[in-house]
Amino acid sequence: MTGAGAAGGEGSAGARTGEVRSAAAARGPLALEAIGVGKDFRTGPGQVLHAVRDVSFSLYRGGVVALVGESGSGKSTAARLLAGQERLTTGLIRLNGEPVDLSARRAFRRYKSQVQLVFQDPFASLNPVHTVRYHLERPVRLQQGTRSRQPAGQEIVTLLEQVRLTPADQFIGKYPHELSGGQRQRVSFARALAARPSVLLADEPVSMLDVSIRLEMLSLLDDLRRRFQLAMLYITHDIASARYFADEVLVMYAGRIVERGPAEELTQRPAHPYTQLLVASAPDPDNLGGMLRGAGPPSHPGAGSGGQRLPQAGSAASAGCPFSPRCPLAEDRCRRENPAPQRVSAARSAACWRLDVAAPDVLAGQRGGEATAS
Amino acid sequence: MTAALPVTADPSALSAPPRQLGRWRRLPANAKVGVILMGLFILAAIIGPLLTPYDPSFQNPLPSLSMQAPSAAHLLGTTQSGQDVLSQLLVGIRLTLVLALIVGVVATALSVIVGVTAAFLGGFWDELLSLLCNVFLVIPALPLLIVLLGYLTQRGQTSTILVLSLLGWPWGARLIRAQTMAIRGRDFIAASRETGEKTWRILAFEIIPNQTGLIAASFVNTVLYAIGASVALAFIGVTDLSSWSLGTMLYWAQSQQALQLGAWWWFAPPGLAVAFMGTGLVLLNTGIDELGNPRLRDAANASTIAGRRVRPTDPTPVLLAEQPQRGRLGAFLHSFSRSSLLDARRETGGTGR
Repeated sequence: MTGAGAAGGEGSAGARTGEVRSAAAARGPLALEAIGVGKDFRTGPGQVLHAVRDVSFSLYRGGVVALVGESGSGKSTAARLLAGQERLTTGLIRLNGEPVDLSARRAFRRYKSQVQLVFQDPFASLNPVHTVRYHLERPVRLQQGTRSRQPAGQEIVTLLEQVRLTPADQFIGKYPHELSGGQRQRVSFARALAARPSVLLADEPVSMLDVSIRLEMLSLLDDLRRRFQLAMLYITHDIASARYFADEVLVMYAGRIVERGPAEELTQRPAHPYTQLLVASAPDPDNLGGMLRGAGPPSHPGAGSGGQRLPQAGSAASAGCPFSPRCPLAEDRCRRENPAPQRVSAARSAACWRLDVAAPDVLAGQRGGEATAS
Repeated sequence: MTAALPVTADPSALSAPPRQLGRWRRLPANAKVGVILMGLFILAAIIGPLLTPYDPSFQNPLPSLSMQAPSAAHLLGTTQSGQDVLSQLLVGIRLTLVLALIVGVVATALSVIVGVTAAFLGGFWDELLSLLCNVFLVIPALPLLIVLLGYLTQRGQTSTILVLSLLGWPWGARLIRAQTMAIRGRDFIAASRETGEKTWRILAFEIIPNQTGLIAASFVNTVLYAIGASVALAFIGVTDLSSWSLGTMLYWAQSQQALQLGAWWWFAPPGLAVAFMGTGLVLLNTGIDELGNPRLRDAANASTIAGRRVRPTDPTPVLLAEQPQRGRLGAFLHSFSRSSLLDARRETGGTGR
């Protein structure tokens, strides 16, 4: 599965492949798989941007996988690849075990009845000239083949009630500019649900909303996930909301997944230096005073000084670890070779040469576990 | 002026919400003038030929009816050969307007097709269609029209329509191409692909409705261009001179020296008709923005405070008389204006209102 950079591994067989059991797998059957997915954009003559490189993960019915990363890390591109909005450069997508080929229009529409994408910006994702009714009527008609007018009307009311836009009669004839950001995003959710999908890809669904309604929207998503057994990909730059909402967290940096693991465990004891920075930069209400005084979060030594350098995200020039220019623990090897994901426990892996320094406790826990098992 | 608002818990005691203003009343004043002007011309084009008091081509042999000034029998006078000018005008408005509308429809359709296709397909097709556009843009239109119409064997209206349509689309196509490219990347287009819409439906129902205002404005401009060009062509005699249009009226008036002989009733009516048509179309254009934008439609419906519109996005209105900041040149120019007199009177405590 991992084509490049696996040569330098020196650990056990499990550590070399880096394959782990997803924490979301316990929730339900496998729905969507991304296998070695990659996307290159040509930015100029002879220049290629590797937006997404060799990303693999699985979504399970009823489970939430969070994709966390900073702007430009390729997480939105990953969602658009899975949604079929962009063509894959490399890799494969499997839906319910079947390889997906989206080149034919009919196949694309069948795929869309299973996999739906919700966009980040509710102000851009609804057409300003159409009413709420039109936005919901089209997917109901297209995906469910409803011909007569009456059943579609009832279906629309049901959809609006599912996303808690009630009374539905009041919203059905409105134009997008008459709705608030939260209401628009609910319409977007309703539109995605109209196709009765099994997989929902949510691309930063709450980042454009007021802080006061984010939690409400997340609980709405959680409710929809439970009610329809949705397999959900939740993309965010906010690792705190991922911890609240997701079963498994994938941390993305420069187009690669650098760490993955169960949400609670990963956010409590991050192994990869980048994840440690992410967690440390999330505001902690208990330690706000300390952070403001400049003491810095006590994640690991040197985090504060190492994070100052500019990121080189996505640049294909260097062969080493893409995080090495920013990494406080980087050494010569990091700048020469790109680390492959290493398994650190049954459900966790991280791509870092210096895990022994970055997260000795995580590694120790795993060694101890293996020792007792054997 | 601040009467205390009645405080009540009973919703029925509150005054009814303001009635939705009709579309007509929400139009800006100049757009209303445009609608009225164009309405009059369209009415004249529809029923005018039924009302003509005389056959416009009938040449009255009576010598007293040659170049007769307006009278009760001939409201707009007669021409040198004794034809009734009013009848010619009523028939001529129809021909000119119909020709211009057909050119407008054909050229706008061409520009929408070319513009949207170029922007949506992109790549090679975009390059090709843009090149075509640019070639047509740099062709000097009027000389080409004269040459083309001079060489065409049949000088009827059809050839005029064809040639004007062929030369009238590139401006609109460029505008629409640019607008389509801006809309194409928006999320709601990706979202309609998510819904599973076909490409033609995305074009026809998602992209083009967002450009209604632009397309309508480009249509009005094309009609304006067609009126101007067809009148100009007829004026220099490159059209079917046996039919009556505003252009041929001007041609005959010019060729029989109406201006030199002081027969103003012969050339002024068709000239004024062309001028008013143009004015009407330009004014109409100002009202078009609201057509394709539901948001603007509602903003015009906003409440008013002290005669000033308040929109939801406005800052809280502070109702003080504004004292605009002017530079030296601005103040100099302002001192000539009528409002500077009003300002001066108000400052000296005069009866400003």
